[in-house]
Amino acid sequence: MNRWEATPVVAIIGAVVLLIAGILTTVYSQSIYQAQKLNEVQVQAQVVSASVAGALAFEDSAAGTQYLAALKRNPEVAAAGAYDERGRLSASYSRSAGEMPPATAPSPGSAQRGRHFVVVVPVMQDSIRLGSVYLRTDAETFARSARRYAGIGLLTLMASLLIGVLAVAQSTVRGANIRLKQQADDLREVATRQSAIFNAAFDAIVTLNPSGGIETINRAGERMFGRAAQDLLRRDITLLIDLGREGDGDFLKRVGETPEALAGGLLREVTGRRCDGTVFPVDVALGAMELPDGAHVVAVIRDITDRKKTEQLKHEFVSTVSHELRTPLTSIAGSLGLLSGGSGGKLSVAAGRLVGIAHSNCQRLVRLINDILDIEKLESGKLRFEFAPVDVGELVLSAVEDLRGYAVEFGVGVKVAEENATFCVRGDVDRLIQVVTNIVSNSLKFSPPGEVVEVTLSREGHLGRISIADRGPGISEEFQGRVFSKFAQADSTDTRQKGGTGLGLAISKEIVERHGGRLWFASVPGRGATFHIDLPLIEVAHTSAQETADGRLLVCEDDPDVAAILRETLEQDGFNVDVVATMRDAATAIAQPKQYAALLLDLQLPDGDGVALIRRLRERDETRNLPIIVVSAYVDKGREVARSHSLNVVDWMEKPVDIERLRRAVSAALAGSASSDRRATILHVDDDHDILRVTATALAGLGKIISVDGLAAARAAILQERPDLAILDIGLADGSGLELLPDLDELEGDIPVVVFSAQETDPALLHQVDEVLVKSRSSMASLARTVRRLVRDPERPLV
Amino acid sequence: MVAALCLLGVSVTANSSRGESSGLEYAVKGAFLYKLAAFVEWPSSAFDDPAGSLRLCVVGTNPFGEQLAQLTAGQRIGNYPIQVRRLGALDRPAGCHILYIGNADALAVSRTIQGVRGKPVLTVTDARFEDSTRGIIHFVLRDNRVRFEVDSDAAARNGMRLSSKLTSLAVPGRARSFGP
Repeated sequence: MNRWEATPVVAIIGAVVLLIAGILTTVYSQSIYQAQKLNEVQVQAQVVSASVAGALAFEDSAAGTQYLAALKRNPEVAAAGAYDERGRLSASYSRSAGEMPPATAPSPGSAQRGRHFVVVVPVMQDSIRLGSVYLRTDAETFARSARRYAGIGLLTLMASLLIGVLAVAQSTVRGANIRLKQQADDLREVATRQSAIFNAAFDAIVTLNPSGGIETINRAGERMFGRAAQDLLRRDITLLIDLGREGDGDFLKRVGETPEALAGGLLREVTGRRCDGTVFPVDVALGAMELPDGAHVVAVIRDITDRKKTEQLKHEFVSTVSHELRTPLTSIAGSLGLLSGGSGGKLSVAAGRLVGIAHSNCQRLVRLINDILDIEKLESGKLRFEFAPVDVGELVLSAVEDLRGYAVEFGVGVKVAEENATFCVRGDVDRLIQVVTNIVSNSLKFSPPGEVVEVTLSREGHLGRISIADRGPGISEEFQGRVFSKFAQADSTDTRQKGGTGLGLAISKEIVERHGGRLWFASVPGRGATFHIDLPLIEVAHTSAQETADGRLLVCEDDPDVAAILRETLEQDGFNVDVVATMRDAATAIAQPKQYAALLLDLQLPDGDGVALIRRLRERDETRNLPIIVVSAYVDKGREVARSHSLNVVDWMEKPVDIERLRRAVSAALAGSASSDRRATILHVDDDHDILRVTATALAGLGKIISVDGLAAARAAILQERPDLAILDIGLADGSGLELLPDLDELEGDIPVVVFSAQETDPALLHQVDEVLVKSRSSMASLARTVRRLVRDPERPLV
Repeated sequence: MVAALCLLGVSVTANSSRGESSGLEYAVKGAFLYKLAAFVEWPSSAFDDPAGSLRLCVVGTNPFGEQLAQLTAGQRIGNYPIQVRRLGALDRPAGCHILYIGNADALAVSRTIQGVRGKPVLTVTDARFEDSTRGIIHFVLRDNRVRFEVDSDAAARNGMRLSSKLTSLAVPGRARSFGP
């Protein structure tokens, strides 16, 4: 008990003690006083008795009366009487008429009778009983004194109570003050700490009222946005960052969140705006403060310009490096491939072996670079998946098919279970094939010859499962935790034998997880391993045609005649067509919320490069999946405006190019060309001379190769001789290979085009345009069909 | 007491020929007689015998009859019982503490008083008998009430002291005896 709690206790005890003492004293003194008073009266009676003794003895009433009359001096004496030995009243005294002594002597004694003291004493003289004296006095004054005593006692009591109460009150107040002061100190301390944290923080900390108005902003915030705190008070937070819809009303509602959601922390990347209007990227972390008047919000804002820059730099670095690495690799791989294929002449056994080693390692390097790039893209979130309904059964069959050669190499069989119940998932078919291929090839690698790798499909609840089982050595206990980590291989000695980059499983896992699934395994060391790919099932939903989107197309074509033809053709097929003539108008038109089902774009526009527009559109969320048809219909002036315009043919390939694929594509393209009896002329436009040389070698048997390294040279070559096939590189020094398309189209007949690109910086573009550039050598009539097909089923590959 | 009263009443009736209320008068005087002892101080030589008593003697005529003895029965002065004696003519009065002289003869009274002069004897005379010679206490009648005169000098001559309570009740004497 501290001092301040003891004092009231002490005070109360003291008051009680005083009270008891007061009562006791009063009572005690009262009784003492009474006894004293009685005694006094008794003494008085004794005196009287002594004085009247003689009168009584000698029956002198007069004398007796005279003696008694002396009592008159005492106003308190009410009556007195002297009685002889026979009890007869001999002499008397009365203060007033009504106050008479009794007629006969009462027995001796003293007592308080109501308001009087009554005393009767015997009168003795020398042992002779002469009579008795009766004396009656007022107890009034006594009563008055008693009352006064009581009054004093009461006053003392009240005074002590008052003192006690005051003491209690004072100590309580003091205690309360101490506590208050302590609380105030605590609060101040908390406030000081918080203020220190607030202002020392490196990131901007802003607190908002429930409507989104700024309540406080710390120094870092003032610096970040270049404004003073008092200028920002009560302004809406959207002044500083693009978070939430504009307008009034509950801020959290505008952001689309609830206080409970914020409890787990909410992080968003938005744009911040400085006072001078410049914008910069920021991370915003939101938290809720539940206060009596609503959910206030605290926003911690971090300027991530640097981070973004770093990311950008890293990204650019990786892609630059990859490009720089890939380009020479293409040449190396190509050359070695050709050499081992015998293009450089027959090789001796030893030479052949050496070349084989170099080639396979080169291919491994290529794969490694691809994997590294993939991982980087995955981790930076740059890897874009094209989700579509995928028939997993078909996917697995196709992946296994591609691995047949590999399997033969290892002497291991691949069995896809017959009774597999296929299922559909939503995924990127290429990436899923990549995953299945990766795992099956691992299984093949680690299976002893003669064994079989089994692939089965099954359903597990709401998941579909692809299981790949091998009977290899299995995965040891120690390694099981590291299976999916990067560059982890069970045994480094295996590495050289087994090949592999060490990244395959990491990439596969990432891809599967991005598909909302799980990649895991079960293994008994020595008995084999089974890998499982779990993916969420979807119902095979028939992508219903979007009747509304069926409606509107945007045509960007500067030639009014062509535009008219396009419009006419498409409108006949039931589309609504908007026509613009410049890239800028096209961009504006698309920016509007009107939904276009597709864009028909002429690459050769007066105010810019259609490719650039495509690139821009692919970067934006709203238009990433917008079907774009590149139309370079060139109207032959003078010819009747008829339906004899052709579109372009493209097939995209990525570098480092698979020479085999190139050959196949070229062969296929040439097969369709009109003249097959003369040697085909192949125009190859690429700014990389090594690629030109390698390609020339690779395609040597297919025709005459004209290799040029730029647009201008290409145009000159076209003028000189009409090519039967064109192989174009997008990234040319003086432009884009696509710009040749119109030139090619001017030539007679339809010229198939194969396009290369090593530009990883535009993966979206590549991929998308792959879909988009229509592989059709048909006429306008089929444009509508194609457009319709694109519009209705944009995910379906177009071959 | 009641008996005494009745006797008084009888004696009053019996003695009515002697004078109205003379019986009552002598009852009162008798009471006074022994009560006097309470208001008088004898020298210590008068009471040197602890087994003794206070002697109340009557010489001459005894007007009290048996009353005195009755009145004083059981009474004590201090610790001394009261003994009532009737003195004959030849008895010496010096051994008495209180001596009531009931002689009508002034000479006899005077002679009795002289006889005990200097001795601690409270001489009580009665105006009824003889009014010219007075002892230390002299009963008189005033307003039909028994009163007494006191002679403090005579008391002092006899070595006694009279209480002021007594002397204050005394009536003043008319004539003093210049007797011896």
